[in-house]
Amino acid sequence: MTAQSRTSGRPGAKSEPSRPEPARPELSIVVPMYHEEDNIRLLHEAVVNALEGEGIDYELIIIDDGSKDRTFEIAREIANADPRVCAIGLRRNYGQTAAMVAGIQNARGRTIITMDGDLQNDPTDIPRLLALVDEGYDIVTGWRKKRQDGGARVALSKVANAIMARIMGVQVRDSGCSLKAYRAELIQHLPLYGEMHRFIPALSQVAGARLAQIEVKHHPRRFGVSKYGFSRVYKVMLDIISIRVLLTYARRPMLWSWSFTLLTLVGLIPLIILALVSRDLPMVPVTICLLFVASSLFLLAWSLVGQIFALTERGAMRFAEIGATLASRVSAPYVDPAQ
Amino acid sequence: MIAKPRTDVMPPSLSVIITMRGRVEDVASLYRSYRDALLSLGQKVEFIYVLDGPHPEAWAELVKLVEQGEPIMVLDMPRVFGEAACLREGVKHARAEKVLILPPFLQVETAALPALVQGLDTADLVVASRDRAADSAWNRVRGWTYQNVARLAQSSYDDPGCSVRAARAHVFQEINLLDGHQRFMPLLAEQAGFRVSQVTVAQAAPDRRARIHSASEYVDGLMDVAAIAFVTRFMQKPFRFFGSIGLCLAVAGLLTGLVLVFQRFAFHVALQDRPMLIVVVLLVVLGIQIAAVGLIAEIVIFTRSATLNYRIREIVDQASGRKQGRPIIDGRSRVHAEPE
Repeated sequence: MTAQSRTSGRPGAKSEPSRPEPARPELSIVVPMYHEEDNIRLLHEAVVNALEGEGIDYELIIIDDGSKDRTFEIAREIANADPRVCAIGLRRNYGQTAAMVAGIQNARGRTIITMDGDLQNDPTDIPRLLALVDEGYDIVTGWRKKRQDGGARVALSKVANAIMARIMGVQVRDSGCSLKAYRAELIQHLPLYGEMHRFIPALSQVAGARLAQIEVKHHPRRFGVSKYGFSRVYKVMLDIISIRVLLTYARRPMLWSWSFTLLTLVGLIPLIILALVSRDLPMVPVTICLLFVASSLFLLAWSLVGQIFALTERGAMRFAEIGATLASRVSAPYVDPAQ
Repeated sequence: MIAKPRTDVMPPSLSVIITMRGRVEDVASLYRSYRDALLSLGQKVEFIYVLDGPHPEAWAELVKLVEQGEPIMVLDMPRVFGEAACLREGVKHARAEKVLILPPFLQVETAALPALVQGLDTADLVVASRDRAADSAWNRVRGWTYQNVARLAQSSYDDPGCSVRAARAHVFQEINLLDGHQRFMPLLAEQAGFRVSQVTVAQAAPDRRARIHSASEYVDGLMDVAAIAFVTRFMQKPFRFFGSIGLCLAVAGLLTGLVLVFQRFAFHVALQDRPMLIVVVLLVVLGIQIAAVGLIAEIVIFTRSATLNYRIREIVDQASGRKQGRPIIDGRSRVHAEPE
């Protein structure tokens, strides 16, 4: 998103007196929070202490995701006292992805770091993530090697990561770790909705982003309770299937249902064989074969419908455009030696 | 066709929108009841009547009132479009920031209307709930049933059938009110992050008479509840809904298939001529198809994700030097100033 588009008002709105756009900071740290009134001041202190003396020009964006406790009041106090802090209050609880997107879309930094607001991530890791972005990586994900959560949760997380790696073809050791760094032009243009924040590395890969992983510190939760339950595992599994289809769809809109279509076309083969070898076709096998064939035709029709969306909503399919504009992919301007 | 009231220099503080459809009572006397009840607010009020399809008698009476200098605007829709469409058109013509939606018949005691409007000082939408203590038994059963069916759509409101509502005009700009969904306006407003409150009001005497609706109205109501329940829960993750149904069907089919295979090998029951085999395949195929519908729904959301995410209530940021913080960018309009 360009600075120009962010300052232009809604059509018909009274225009504000022209004011110079404040300098764009190097780094935006985006922290979604939900019922974290005990943690918020500690988090602010931790970020300030971690980045003091590092010479990094940063802003801290705290997003309150519709908490019913004092989280936003405290965030407002912090933002009023510290000009580096921006507090955003959402109208209701929208979920972690929406809160994260609110912070990302309002971030001004060239690099955006996301982290949890429960103090389990350590802000002292931020400079190391930032260094990797400076080296040319577009996305740097944290890996909680010594994770301070219950054994069952860690085990489930490992299984989920393995499945994601297998299905999506993106080897992320710890997709659940919120401590990640992104090049702003990448993350601000990825389509994010629902609970997609876990799959940002996979979506980034479609745009050709260069991924790095780094071991980060992880602390046990000091205040409040975790908002994650085991029922999430089932939901994440369904999400993995839909994201896998979307990744295929983003590359080739017609392709997403072909594997299903071919699978169901299998019904056609025994039907042909039966028709060739037998004069009296048995009713049950023939009906079954016809069901498979009908199913494959429906799936083919669905993939054509998907093609229509790709043609009418061209904006969503611009992964190549995102990839081409990543700073790490664009060479220095050509200078004609003759001039 | 539009009949306009005399031009006022000062815009009104309250726009009353009345959709003329279904039960329509004596137009002039109903207008006077509403107008007199709202006098106690001490605010300038305009009335917008939207005629849903041909209502020649109501049109004639309203034009007469306009000619008498009453602050009334009449929109005569060329055909029946439904209540939600009429509301949308009425709001477009409303000049006040506060809107009061009233039915074309007495549903609540008019003395309660000022309290509803005053409720907008602390809420964006105020819904009325009829005190049914004196209502007929049949109406109470209907109301109780509808209230509980609406809970499927996570509605916590006591009287979704009551059409009396007060709202700030900007609420209508942010919620997409489809036909039939006007009953669930509080729920949709809540989803958009607006503050919604409920006020219990006295039921009007004529409204206590037992009423029988057609079966199609009940079916439509049920369909609307189902649609709202789906939209409020799964709009952002449709595959979780369709995928779960598809998975259940496919697993049921596979398990039944396993039973058939077990019977084939353990008890030598022939597999080929069993109709149950068709059921097994049908369940698996249906499961795949329903899951595919969910994937298509995901594609729809994926391709339109920029318009659907979140709403910001407040932003505090000294760095940009703006009074209310930096330009607010949210999922609906990319850049806007938050209305206060």
